[in-house]
Amino acid sequence: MKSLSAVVTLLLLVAALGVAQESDYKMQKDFEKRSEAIKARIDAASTTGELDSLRSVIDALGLDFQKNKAFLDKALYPSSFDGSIDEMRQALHVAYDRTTTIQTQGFRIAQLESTVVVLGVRIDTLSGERTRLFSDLQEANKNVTNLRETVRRLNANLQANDRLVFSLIDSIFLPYDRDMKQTSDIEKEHLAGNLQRANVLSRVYDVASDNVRFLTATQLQPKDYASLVEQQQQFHSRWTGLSDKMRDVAAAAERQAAKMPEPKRGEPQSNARLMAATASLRSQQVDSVLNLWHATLASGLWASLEKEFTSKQVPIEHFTDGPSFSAAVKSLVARYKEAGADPTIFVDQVWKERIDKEWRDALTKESVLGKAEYASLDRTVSELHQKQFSLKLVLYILGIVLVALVAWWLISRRQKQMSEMDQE
Amino acid sequence: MRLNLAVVGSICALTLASCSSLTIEHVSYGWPVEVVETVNPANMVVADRYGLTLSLSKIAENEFQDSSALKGTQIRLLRNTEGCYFITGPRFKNVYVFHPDYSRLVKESIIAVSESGLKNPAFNLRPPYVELVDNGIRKLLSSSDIVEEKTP
Repeated sequence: MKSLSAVVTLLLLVAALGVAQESDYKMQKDFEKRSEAIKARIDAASTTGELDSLRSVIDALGLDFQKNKAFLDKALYPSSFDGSIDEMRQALHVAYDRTTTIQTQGFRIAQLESTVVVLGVRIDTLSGERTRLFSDLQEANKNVTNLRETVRRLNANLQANDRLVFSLIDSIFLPYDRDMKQTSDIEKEHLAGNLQRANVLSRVYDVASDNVRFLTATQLQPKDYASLVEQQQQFHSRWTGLSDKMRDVAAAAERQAAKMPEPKRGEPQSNARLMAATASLRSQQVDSVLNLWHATLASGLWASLEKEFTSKQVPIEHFTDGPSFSAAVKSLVARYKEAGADPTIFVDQVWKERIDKEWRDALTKESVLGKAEYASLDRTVSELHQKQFSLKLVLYILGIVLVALVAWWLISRRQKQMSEMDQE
Repeated sequence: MRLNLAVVGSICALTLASCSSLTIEHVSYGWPVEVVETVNPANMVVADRYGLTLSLSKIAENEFQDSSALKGTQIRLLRNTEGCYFITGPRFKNVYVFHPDYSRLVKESIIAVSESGLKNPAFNLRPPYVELVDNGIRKLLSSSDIVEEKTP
Protein backbone atom coordinates (compact mmCIF):
# COMPACT_ATOMS: atom_id res chain seq x y z
CA MET A 1 0.00 0.00 0.00
CA LYS A 2 2.82 2.34 0.96
CA SER A 3 4.68 1.59 -2.23
CA LEU A 4 1.52 2.23 -4.26
CA SER A 5 1.04 5.67 -2.73
CA ALA A 6 4.70 6.49 -3.31
CA VAL A 7 4.32 5.59 -6.98
CA VAL A 8 1.20 7.76 -7.29
CA THR A 9 3.01 10.69 -5.64
CA LEU A 10 5.95 10.17 -7.96
CA LEU A 11 3.69 10.13 -11.03
CA LEU A 12 1.99 13.33 -9.91
CA LEU A 13 5.34 15.00 -9.35
CA VAL A 14 6.60 13.91 -12.74
CA ALA A 15 3.46 15.41 -14.28
CA ALA A 16 4.07 18.59 -12.31
CA LEU A 17 7.59 18.77 -13.72
CA GLY A 18 6.14 19.40 -17.14
CA VAL A 19 4.04 22.30 -15.81
CA ALA A 20 6.59 23.96 -13.57
CA GLN A 21 8.99 25.85 -15.77
CA GLU A 22 11.11 27.69 -13.20
CA SER A 23 12.29 27.70 -9.61
CA ASP A 24 9.86 28.67 -6.86
CA TYR A 25 12.37 31.20 -5.60
CA LYS A 26 12.46 32.89 -9.02
CA MET A 27 8.67 32.93 -9.14
CA GLN A 28 8.51 34.60 -5.70
CA LYS A 29 11.13 37.15 -6.74
CA ASP A 30 9.27 37.83 -10.00
CA PHE A 31 6.07 38.44 -8.11
CA GLU A 32 7.85 40.73 -5.63
CA LYS A 33 9.66 42.57 -8.42
CA ARG A 34 6.47 43.18 -10.39
CA SER A 35 4.66 44.27 -7.19
CA GLU A 36 7.42 46.74 -6.33
CA ALA A 37 7.39 48.10 -9.88
CA ILE A 38 3.63 48.62 -9.69
CA LYS A 39 3.95 50.36 -6.31
CA ALA A 40 6.67 52.64 -7.69
CA ARG A 41 4.45 53.50 -10.67
CA ILE A 42 1.54 54.19 -8.30
CA ASP A 43 3.72 56.56 -6.27
CA ALA A 44 4.96 58.32 -9.39
CA ALA A 45 1.54 58.57 -11.09
CA SER A 46 0.37 62.14 -11.52
CA THR A 47 -2.87 61.61 -13.45
CA THR A 48 -5.95 59.52 -12.86
CA GLY A 49 -5.47 58.09 -16.37
CA GLU A 50 -2.16 56.51 -15.35
CA LEU A 51 -3.79 55.08 -12.23
CA ASP A 52 -6.66 53.64 -14.26
CA SER A 53 -4.15 51.76 -16.42
CA LEU A 54 -2.34 50.52 -13.29
CA ARG A 55 -5.60 49.05 -12.03
CA SER A 56 -5.59 46.64 -14.96
CA VAL A 57 -1.86 45.93 -14.43
CA ILE A 58 -2.64 44.82 -10.85
CA ASP A 59 -5.52 42.66 -12.12
CA ALA A 60 -3.14 41.07 -14.65
CA LEU A 61 -0.55 40.38 -11.94
CA GLY A 62 -3.24 38.71 -9.82
CA LEU A 63 -4.35 36.53 -12.73
CA ASP A 64 -0.77 35.61 -13.72
CA PHE A 65 0.06 34.33 -10.24
CA GLN A 66 -3.36 33.02 -9.21
CA LYS A 67 -2.26 29.44 -9.98
CA ASN A 68 0.68 29.88 -7.56
CA LYS A 69 -1.46 31.37 -4.80
CA ALA A 70 -0.93 28.44 -2.40
CA PHE A 71 2.84 28.66 -2.79
CA LEU A 72 2.96 32.46 -2.56
CA ASP A 73 0.79 32.48 0.56
CA LYS A 74 3.60 30.57 2.30
CA ALA A 75 6.56 32.18 0.55
CA LEU A 76 5.38 35.75 1.15
CA TYR A 77 4.81 35.19 4.89
CA PRO A 78 4.00 37.29 6.98
CA SER A 79 2.07 38.72 4.02
CA SER A 80 0.13 36.59 1.58
CA PHE A 81 -0.80 36.59 -2.09
CA ASP A 82 -4.21 38.20 -1.51
CA GLY A 83 -2.68 40.54 1.09
CA SER A 84 -0.08 41.77 -1.40
CA ILE A 85 -2.67 42.34 -4.12
CA ASP A 86 -4.97 44.13 -1.63
CA GLU A 87 -2.05 46.28 -0.49
CA MET A 88 -1.47 47.40 -4.09
CA ARG A 89 -5.19 48.09 -4.61
CA GLN A 90 -5.24 50.11 -1.36
CA ALA A 91 -2.16 52.11 -2.46
CA LEU A 92 -3.90 52.70 -5.81
CA HIS A 93 -7.03 53.92 -4.03
CA VAL A 94 -5.05 56.34 -1.84
CA ALA A 95 -3.08 57.58 -4.85
CA TYR A 96 -6.33 58.00 -6.79
CA ASP A 97 -7.79 60.20 -4.04
CA ARG A 98 -4.56 62.18 -3.79
CA THR A 99 -4.27 62.69 -7.55
CA THR A 100 -7.92 63.67 -7.90
CA THR A 101 -7.46 66.22 -5.12
CA ILE A 102 -4.29 67.61 -6.71
CA GLN A 103 -5.92 67.81 -10.14
CA THR A 104 -9.01 69.53 -8.71
CA GLN A 105 -6.89 71.86 -6.58
CA GLY A 106 -4.65 72.65 -9.54
CA PHE A 107 -7.72 73.67 -11.54
CA ARG A 108 -9.01 75.69 -8.57
CA ILE A 109 -5.63 77.42 -8.13
CA ALA A 110 -5.58 78.33 -11.83
CA GLN A 111 -9.13 79.69 -11.49
CA LEU A 112 -8.24 81.69 -8.39
CA GLU A 113 -5.08 83.06 -9.97
CA SER A 114 -7.13 84.41 -12.86
CA THR A 115 -9.57 85.86 -10.28
CA VAL A 116 -6.62 87.58 -8.61
CA VAL A 117 -5.63 89.18 -11.92
CA VAL A 118 -9.22 90.38 -12.55
CA LEU A 119 -9.49 91.75 -9.01
CA GLY A 120 -6.15 93.53 -9.40
CA VAL A 121 -7.42 95.28 -12.54
CA ARG A 122 -10.67 96.26 -10.83
CA ILE A 123 -8.78 97.69 -7.84
CA ASP A 124 -6.54 99.70 -10.16
CA THR A 125 -9.64 101.06 -11.93
CA LEU A 126 -11.14 102.02 -8.58
CA SER A 127 -7.89 103.72 -7.58
CA GLY A 128 -8.06 105.91 -10.70
CA GLU A 129 -11.65 106.82 -9.95
CA ARG A 130 -10.73 107.58 -6.33
CA THR A 131 -7.99 110.01 -7.37
CA ARG A 132 -10.55 111.87 -9.48
CA LEU A 133 -13.04 111.90 -6.58
CA PHE A 134 -10.46 113.43 -4.24
CA SER A 135 -9.93 116.29 -6.67
CA ASP A 136 -13.73 116.63 -7.02
CA LEU A 137 -13.92 116.86 -3.25
CA GLN A 138 -11.73 119.95 -3.20
CA GLU A 139 -13.96 121.58 -5.82
CA ALA A 140 -17.18 120.48 -4.15
CA ASN A 141 -16.25 122.10 -0.84
CA LYS A 142 -17.81 125.25 -2.28
CA ASN A 143 -21.22 123.68 -2.71
CA VAL A 144 -22.83 121.74 0.14
CA THR A 145 -25.03 119.51 -2.03
CA ASN A 146 -22.18 118.57 -4.33
CA LEU A 147 -19.98 117.99 -1.30
CA ARG A 148 -22.37 115.47 0.21
CA GLU A 149 -22.70 113.62 -3.07
CA THR A 150 -18.94 113.51 -3.58
CA VAL A 151 -18.37 112.33 -0.02
CA ARG A 152 -20.96 109.59 -0.50
CA ARG A 153 -19.38 108.41 -3.76
CA LEU A 154 -15.87 108.57 -2.36
CA ASN A 155 -16.87 106.61 0.72
CA ALA A 156 -18.59 103.98 -1.46
CA ASN A 157 -15.45 103.79 -3.59
CA LEU A 158 -13.25 103.27 -0.52
CA GLN A 159 -15.53 100.55 0.81
CA ALA A 160 -15.59 98.77 -2.58
CA ASN A 161 -11.81 99.01 -2.72
CA ASP A 162 -11.54 97.58 0.81
CA ARG A 163 -13.81 94.64 -0.13
CA LEU A 164 -11.93 93.98 -3.36
CA VAL A 165 -8.52 94.00 -1.70
CA PHE A 166 -9.62 91.42 0.86
CA SER A 167 -11.36 89.35 -1.85
CA LEU A 168 -8.05 89.34 -3.68
CA ILE A 169 -6.21 88.25 -0.52
CA ASP A 170 -8.81 85.53 0.17
CA SER A 171 -8.38 84.28 -3.41
CA ILE A 172 -4.65 83.97 -2.86
CA PHE A 173 -4.96 82.11 0.45
CA LEU A 174 -8.02 79.99 -0.44
CA PRO A 175 -6.21 76.99 -1.97
CA TYR A 176 -4.16 76.55 1.19
CA ASP A 177 -4.92 75.30 4.65
CA ARG A 178 -7.07 77.71 6.71
CA ASP A 179 -4.61 78.07 9.61
CA MET A 180 -1.55 77.26 7.44
CA LYS A 181 -0.51 74.38 9.75
CA GLN A 182 -0.56 71.83 6.96
CA THR A 183 1.12 74.14 4.44
CA SER A 184 4.74 73.30 3.64
CA ASP A 185 7.55 75.88 3.52
CA ILE A 186 7.81 75.50 -0.26
CA GLU A 187 4.07 76.20 -0.63
CA LYS A 188 4.43 79.18 1.71
CA GLU A 189 7.31 80.51 -0.38
CA HIS A 190 5.10 80.16 -3.47
CA LEU A 191 2.35 81.96 -1.57
CA ALA A 192 4.78 84.74 -0.63
CA GLY A 193 5.61 85.11 -4.33
CA ASN A 194 1.88 85.36 -5.21
CA LEU A 195 1.32 87.96 -2.48
CA GLN A 196 4.25 89.98 -3.77
CA ARG A 197 3.11 89.70 -7.41
CA ALA A 198 -0.42 90.82 -6.47
CA ASN A 199 1.15 93.74 -4.58
CA VAL A 200 -1.00 92.85 -1.57
CA LEU A 201 0.79 94.80 1.16
CA SER A 202 0.92 97.97 -0.95
CA ARG A 203 -2.78 97.64 -1.72
CA VAL A 204 -3.67 97.18 1.96
CA TYR A 205 -1.46 100.15 2.85
CA ASP A 206 -3.18 102.26 0.13
CA VAL A 207 -6.65 101.39 1.44
CA ALA A 208 -5.73 102.48 4.96
CA SER A 209 -3.91 105.66 3.89
CA ASP A 210 -6.74 106.64 1.47
CA ASN A 211 -9.15 106.35 4.38
CA VAL A 212 -6.95 108.63 6.49
CA ARG A 213 -6.80 111.07 3.57
CA PHE A 214 -10.59 110.91 3.21
CA LEU A 215 -11.11 111.63 6.93
CA THR A 216 -8.79 114.64 6.92
CA ALA A 217 -10.12 116.05 3.62
CA THR A 218 -13.80 116.24 4.45
CA GLN A 219 -16.33 117.39 7.03
CA LEU A 220 -18.41 114.41 8.04
CA GLN A 221 -21.99 114.31 9.24
CA PRO A 222 -22.75 112.53 12.54
CA LYS A 223 -24.49 109.65 10.77
CA ASP A 224 -21.42 109.05 8.57
CA TYR A 225 -19.40 107.96 11.60
CA ALA A 226 -21.36 104.76 12.28
CA SER A 227 -20.44 103.20 8.93
CA LEU A 228 -16.90 104.58 9.07
CA VAL A 229 -16.30 103.07 12.52
CA GLU A 230 -17.74 99.76 11.32
CA GLN A 231 -15.51 99.82 8.24
CA GLN A 232 -12.40 100.64 10.26
CA GLN A 233 -13.13 97.87 12.76
CA GLN A 234 -13.71 95.27 10.02
CA PHE A 235 -10.53 96.31 8.27
CA HIS A 236 -8.59 96.13 11.53
CA SER A 237 -9.78 92.60 12.37
CA ARG A 238 -9.15 91.38 8.81
CA TRP A 239 -5.67 92.84 8.85
CA THR A 240 -4.96 91.22 12.25
CA GLY A 241 -5.87 87.81 10.78
CA LEU A 242 -3.94 88.48 7.60
CA SER A 243 -0.81 89.84 9.30
CA ASP A 244 -0.46 86.60 11.32
CA LYS A 245 -0.52 84.61 8.08
CA MET A 246 1.81 87.11 6.39
CA ARG A 247 4.30 86.75 9.25
CA ASP A 248 4.10 82.96 8.89
CA VAL A 249 4.66 83.20 5.14
CA ALA A 250 7.50 85.72 5.56
CA ALA A 251 9.15 83.44 8.15
CA ALA A 252 8.91 80.52 5.68
CA ALA A 253 10.46 82.71 2.95
CA GLU A 254 13.26 83.62 5.36
CA ARG A 255 13.84 79.94 6.19
CA GLN A 256 14.03 79.16 2.47
CA ALA A 257 16.42 82.09 2.03
CA ALA A 258 18.58 80.80 4.90
CA LYS A 259 19.06 77.53 3.00
CA MET A 260 20.66 79.49 0.17
CA PRO A 261 24.30 80.65 0.46
CA GLU A 262 24.82 84.13 1.95
CA PRO A 263 25.47 86.64 -0.89
CA LYS A 264 28.98 88.00 -1.02
CA ARG A 265 29.66 91.69 -0.57
CA GLY A 266 28.48 93.60 -3.63
CA GLU A 267 26.24 90.74 -4.85
CA PRO A 268 22.47 91.35 -4.90
CA GLN A 269 20.42 89.60 -2.20
CA SER A 270 18.40 86.53 -3.13
CA ASN A 271 14.78 87.06 -4.17
CA ALA A 272 13.39 85.14 -1.15
CA ARG A 273 15.54 87.11 1.31
CA LEU A 274 14.56 90.42 -0.30
CA MET A 275 10.91 89.36 -0.35
CA ALA A 276 10.95 88.52 3.38
CA ALA A 277 12.64 91.83 4.29
CA THR A 278 10.22 93.88 2.15
CA ALA A 279 7.19 92.06 3.55
CA SER A 280 8.32 92.72 7.13
CA LEU A 281 8.87 96.45 6.47
CA ARG A 282 5.57 96.83 4.58
CA SER A 283 3.67 95.07 7.40
CA GLN A 284 5.04 97.57 9.92
CA GLN A 285 3.98 100.44 7.65
CA VAL A 286 0.44 99.01 7.39
CA ASP A 287 0.27 98.69 11.21
CA SER A 288 1.36 102.30 11.55
CA VAL A 289 -1.12 103.74 9.02
CA LEU A 290 -3.90 101.61 10.53
CA ASN A 291 -3.22 103.17 13.94
CA LEU A 292 -3.30 106.60 12.29
CA TRP A 293 -6.65 105.75 10.63
CA HIS A 294 -8.11 104.74 14.00
CA ALA A 295 -6.73 107.86 15.76
CA THR A 296 -7.96 110.25 13.01
CA LEU A 297 -11.43 108.73 13.00
CA ALA A 298 -11.66 108.78 16.81
CA SER A 299 -10.44 112.37 17.18
CA GLY A 300 -12.85 113.54 14.43
CA LEU A 301 -15.77 111.75 16.05
CA TRP A 302 -15.21 113.07 19.61
CA ALA A 303 -14.41 116.62 18.43
CA SER A 304 -17.59 116.75 16.31
CA LEU A 305 -19.60 115.35 19.21
CA GLU A 306 -18.19 117.95 21.59
CA LYS A 307 -19.22 120.69 19.16
CA GLU A 308 -22.84 119.57 19.56
CA PHE A 309 -22.63 120.68 23.22
CA THR A 310 -20.45 123.75 22.89
CA SER A 311 -22.49 125.17 19.98
CA LYS A 312 -25.52 125.30 22.35
CA GLN A 313 -23.44 126.68 25.22
CA VAL A 314 -23.93 123.55 27.29
CA PRO A 315 -20.96 123.58 29.68
CA ILE A 316 -19.64 120.02 29.22
CA GLU A 317 -16.10 119.05 30.19
CA HIS A 318 -13.63 118.24 27.38
CA PHE A 319 -13.63 114.56 26.29
CA THR A 320 -11.51 112.55 23.86
CA ASP A 321 -12.86 108.99 24.09
CA GLY A 322 -15.74 106.84 25.33
CA PRO A 323 -14.87 106.78 29.05
CA SER A 324 -14.14 110.52 29.23
CA PHE A 325 -17.40 111.26 27.34
CA SER A 326 -19.38 109.15 29.85
CA ALA A 327 -17.68 110.88 32.75
CA ALA A 328 -18.34 114.33 31.22
CA VAL A 329 -22.08 113.63 30.69
CA LYS A 330 -22.49 112.22 34.22
CA SER A 331 -20.67 115.20 35.67
CA LEU A 332 -22.89 117.57 33.68
CA VAL A 333 -26.06 115.88 34.93
CA ALA A 334 -24.76 116.05 38.52
CA ARG A 335 -24.05 119.76 38.16
CA TYR A 336 -27.54 120.42 36.77
CA LYS A 337 -29.04 118.58 39.74
CA GLU A 338 -26.90 120.40 42.27
CA ALA A 339 -27.53 123.84 40.82
CA GLY A 340 -31.21 123.15 40.08
CA ALA A 341 -30.62 124.90 36.75
CA ASP A 342 -32.94 124.47 33.78
CA PRO A 343 -31.60 121.54 31.71
CA THR A 344 -34.03 121.97 28.82
CA ILE A 345 -31.41 122.99 26.28
CA PHE A 346 -29.12 120.12 27.25
CA VAL A 347 -31.84 117.48 27.46
CA ASP A 348 -34.15 118.49 24.65
CA GLN A 349 -32.01 120.33 22.13
CA VAL A 350 -28.69 118.56 22.54
CA TRP A 351 -29.35 115.07 23.86
CA LYS A 352 -32.74 114.26 22.34
CA GLU A 353 -32.50 116.23 19.12
CA ARG A 354 -28.83 115.66 18.26
CA ILE A 355 -27.18 112.91 20.27
CA ASP A 356 -30.02 110.41 20.33
CA LYS A 357 -31.16 111.06 16.76
CA GLU A 358 -27.87 111.63 14.95
CA TRP A 359 -25.10 110.05 17.01
CA ARG A 360 -26.69 107.00 18.61
CA ASP A 361 -25.68 104.58 15.79
CA ALA A 362 -22.03 105.57 16.08
CA LEU A 363 -21.95 105.78 19.88
CA THR A 364 -23.55 102.35 20.39
CA LYS A 365 -20.68 100.65 18.51
CA GLU A 366 -18.74 98.59 21.01
CA SER A 367 -15.44 100.19 20.00
CA VAL A 368 -16.87 103.69 20.66
CA LEU A 369 -19.10 103.62 23.74
CA GLY A 370 -21.15 100.42 23.58
CA LYS A 371 -24.90 99.80 23.80
CA ALA A 372 -24.96 99.27 27.58
CA GLU A 373 -23.03 102.45 28.39
CA TYR A 374 -25.12 104.51 25.98
CA ALA A 375 -28.35 103.18 27.54
CA SER A 376 -27.01 104.03 31.00
CA LEU A 377 -26.19 107.61 29.93
CA ASP A 378 -29.58 107.97 28.25
CA ARG A 379 -31.29 106.88 31.50
CA THR A 380 -29.22 109.33 33.53
CA VAL A 381 -30.12 112.22 31.24
CA SER A 382 -33.81 111.19 31.07
CA GLU A 383 -34.02 111.14 34.88
CA LEU A 384 -32.91 114.76 34.91
CA HIS A 385 -35.70 115.62 32.52
CA GLN A 386 -38.30 113.59 34.44
CA LYS A 387 -37.41 115.40 37.68
CA GLN A 388 -38.01 118.75 36.00
CA PHE A 389 -41.25 117.46 34.55
CA SER A 390 -42.50 116.24 37.98
CA LEU A 391 -41.90 119.64 39.66
CA LYS A 392 -43.93 121.41 37.00
CA LEU A 393 -46.71 118.90 37.38
CA VAL A 394 -46.85 119.39 41.15
CA LEU A 395 -47.04 123.18 40.72
CA TYR A 396 -49.75 122.75 38.09
CA ILE A 397 -51.79 120.48 40.37
CA LEU A 398 -51.32 122.87 43.30
CA GLY A 399 -52.55 125.72 41.09
CA ILE A 400 -55.65 123.77 40.11
CA VAL A 401 -56.35 122.85 43.75
CA LEU A 402 -55.94 126.52 44.76
CA VAL A 403 -58.34 127.66 42.04
CA ALA A 404 -60.81 124.94 43.06
CA LEU A 405 -60.61 126.04 46.71
CA VAL A 406 -61.18 129.69 45.83
CA ALA A 407 -64.13 128.72 43.61
CA TRP A 408 -65.59 126.52 46.36
CA TRP A 409 -65.14 129.34 48.92
CA LEU A 410 -66.84 131.83 46.60
CA ILE A 411 -69.73 129.46 45.84
CA SER A 412 -70.25 128.49 49.47
CA ARG A 413 -70.17 132.19 50.48
CA ARG A 414 -72.72 133.02 47.82
CA GLN A 415 -74.98 130.18 49.01
CA LYS A 416 -74.63 131.39 52.58
CA GLN A 417 -75.56 134.94 51.58
CA MET A 418 -78.57 133.66 49.64
CA SER A 419 -79.83 131.55 52.58
CA GLU A 420 -79.48 134.58 54.91
CA MET A 421 -81.47 136.66 52.46
CA ASP A 422 -84.17 133.97 52.30
CA GLN A 423 -84.42 133.95 56.14
CA GLU A 424 -84.76 137.71 56.18
CA MET B 1 12.32 -2.95 53.39
CA ARG B 2 13.37 -4.83 50.27
CA LEU B 3 9.78 -4.89 49.13
CA ASN B 4 9.53 -1.11 49.56
CA LEU B 5 12.71 -0.53 47.55
CA ALA B 6 11.43 -2.80 44.81
CA VAL B 7 8.11 -0.87 44.57
CA VAL B 8 9.86 2.58 44.47
CA GLY B 9 12.36 1.30 41.91
CA SER B 10 9.57 -0.05 39.70
CA ILE B 11 7.68 3.28 39.80
CA CYS B 12 10.84 5.25 38.87
CA ALA B 13 11.61 2.85 36.03
CA LEU B 14 8.06 3.15 34.66
CA THR B 15 8.14 6.98 34.86
CA LEU B 16 11.49 7.21 33.03
CA ALA B 17 10.30 4.78 30.39
CA SER B 18 7.16 6.82 29.70
CA CYS B 19 9.24 10.04 29.43
CA SER B 20 11.70 8.60 26.93
CA SER B 21 8.88 7.37 24.68
CA LEU B 22 7.27 10.86 24.30
CA THR B 23 7.60 11.37 20.54
CA ILE B 24 5.64 13.61 18.16
CA GLU B 25 5.04 11.98 14.81
CA HIS B 26 4.41 13.42 11.28
CA VAL B 27 6.25 16.70 11.78
CA SER B 28 6.83 18.64 8.55
CA TYR B 29 9.94 20.82 8.51
CA GLY B 30 9.71 21.87 4.85
CA TRP B 31 10.51 25.44 3.86
CA PRO B 32 8.09 26.70 1.19
CA VAL B 33 10.90 28.32 -0.76
CA GLU B 34 14.66 27.98 -0.87
CA VAL B 35 17.01 30.50 0.71
CA VAL B 36 19.45 32.15 -1.70
CA GLU B 37 22.24 33.89 0.19
CA THR B 38 25.74 35.16 -0.46
CA VAL B 39 28.51 33.65 1.64
CA ASN B 40 29.97 36.45 3.76
CA PRO B 41 33.69 37.14 4.29
CA ALA B 42 33.58 35.02 7.47
CA ASN B 43 32.51 32.07 5.26
CA MET B 44 29.09 32.11 6.90
CA VAL B 45 25.56 32.07 5.54
CA VAL B 46 22.66 33.59 7.47
CA ALA B 47 19.06 32.68 6.68
CA ASP B 48 17.26 35.49 8.54
CA ARG B 49 13.76 34.20 7.96
CA TYR B 50 14.54 30.87 9.66
CA GLY B 51 17.11 32.09 12.19
CA LEU B 52 19.75 29.76 10.75
CA THR B 53 23.49 30.52 10.63
CA LEU B 54 26.09 28.05 9.35
CA SER B 55 29.67 27.93 8.10
CA LEU B 56 30.37 26.83 4.52
CA SER B 57 34.09 26.20 4.93
CA LYS B 58 33.84 22.42 5.20
CA ILE B 59 31.58 22.15 2.16
CA ALA B 60 33.97 24.41 0.20
CA GLU B 61 36.89 22.28 1.31
CA ASN B 62 35.09 19.13 0.21
CA GLU B 63 33.77 20.52 -3.10
CA PHE B 64 36.64 22.73 -4.24
CA GLN B 65 39.50 21.67 -1.96
CA ASP B 66 39.64 25.25 -0.75
CA SER B 67 37.83 26.25 2.45
CA SER B 68 37.46 29.89 1.30
CA ALA B 69 36.35 29.10 -2.27
CA LEU B 70 32.71 29.99 -1.58
CA LYS B 71 33.26 33.48 -0.10
CA GLY B 72 31.20 36.03 -1.99
CA THR B 73 29.31 33.40 -4.01
CA GLN B 74 25.63 32.60 -3.82
CA ILE B 75 24.55 29.27 -2.37
CA ARG B 76 21.08 27.74 -2.24
CA LEU B 77 19.65 26.12 0.80
CA LEU B 78 16.36 24.29 1.32
CA ARG B 79 14.98 22.14 4.12
CA ASN B 80 12.80 19.22 3.11
CA THR B 81 9.76 17.99 4.99
CA GLU B 82 11.86 15.42 6.91
CA GLY B 83 14.07 18.22 8.25
CA CYS B 84 17.20 17.62 6.16
CA TYR B 85 19.05 20.64 4.73
CA PHE B 86 19.94 20.54 1.01
CA ILE B 87 22.85 22.77 0.01
CA THR B 88 24.31 23.47 -3.41
CA GLY B 89 25.40 26.30 -5.68
CA PRO B 90 26.84 27.16 -9.09
CA ARG B 91 29.88 25.00 -10.10
CA PHE B 92 28.87 22.39 -7.50
CA LYS B 93 29.00 18.80 -8.68
CA ASN B 94 27.09 17.59 -5.65
CA VAL B 95 24.13 18.38 -3.47
CA TYR B 96 25.01 18.21 0.23
CA VAL B 97 22.33 16.81 2.54
CA PHE B 98 22.58 17.27 6.31
CA HIS B 99 20.36 16.45 9.21
CA PRO B 100 20.42 18.68 12.29
CA ASP B 101 21.96 17.68 15.60
CA TYR B 102 22.80 19.64 18.76
CA SER B 103 24.52 22.82 17.41
CA ARG B 104 25.74 21.05 14.31
CA LEU B 105 24.71 19.61 10.96
CA VAL B 106 25.60 16.01 10.31
CA LYS B 107 26.13 14.66 6.80
CA GLU B 108 23.18 12.61 5.63
CA SER B 109 24.45 12.11 2.10
CA ILE B 110 26.34 13.75 -0.73
CA ILE B 111 24.40 13.33 -3.96
CA ALA B 112 26.38 13.62 -7.20
CA VAL B 113 24.21 15.61 -9.61
CA SER B 114 26.52 16.94 -12.34
CA GLU B 115 29.85 15.80 -13.70
CA SER B 116 30.71 19.22 -15.15
CA GLY B 117 29.26 21.25 -12.29
CA LEU B 118 25.88 22.97 -11.97
CA LYS B 119 25.31 26.19 -13.95
CA ASN B 120 22.36 27.94 -12.35
CA PRO B 121 20.81 25.57 -9.82
CA ALA B 122 17.60 26.10 -7.83
CA PHE B 123 15.69 24.01 -5.27
CA ASN B 124 11.92 23.61 -5.16
CA LEU B 125 10.10 21.83 -2.38
CA ARG B 126 8.04 19.00 -3.86
CA PRO B 127 7.02 16.99 -0.78
CA PRO B 128 8.21 14.46 0.10
CA TYR B 129 11.13 15.29 -2.26
CA VAL B 130 13.25 18.24 -3.22
CA GLU B 131 13.42 19.24 -6.86
CA LEU B 132 16.74 20.41 -8.27
CA VAL B 133 16.42 22.55 -11.42
CA ASP B 134 19.42 23.52 -13.53
CA ASN B 135 19.18 24.87 -17.07
CA GLY B 136 16.20 22.70 -17.95
CA ILE B 137 17.45 19.58 -16.16
CA ARG B 138 15.20 18.48 -13.32
CA LYS B 139 16.02 15.93 -10.68
CA LEU B 140 13.85 14.79 -7.79
CA LEU B 141 15.98 14.18 -4.74
CA SER B 142 15.29 12.25 -1.58
CA SER B 143 17.54 12.81 1.40
CA SER B 144 19.87 10.10 0.12
CA ASP B 145 19.61 9.82 -3.66
CA ILE B 146 18.18 10.92 -7.01
CA VAL B 147 14.67 9.54 -7.31
CA GLU B 148 13.79 10.78 -10.77
CA GLU B 149 15.63 12.68 -13.50
CA LYS B 150 14.36 14.51 -16.57
CA THR B 151 16.40 16.24 -19.23
CA PRO B 152 14.95 18.72 -21.76
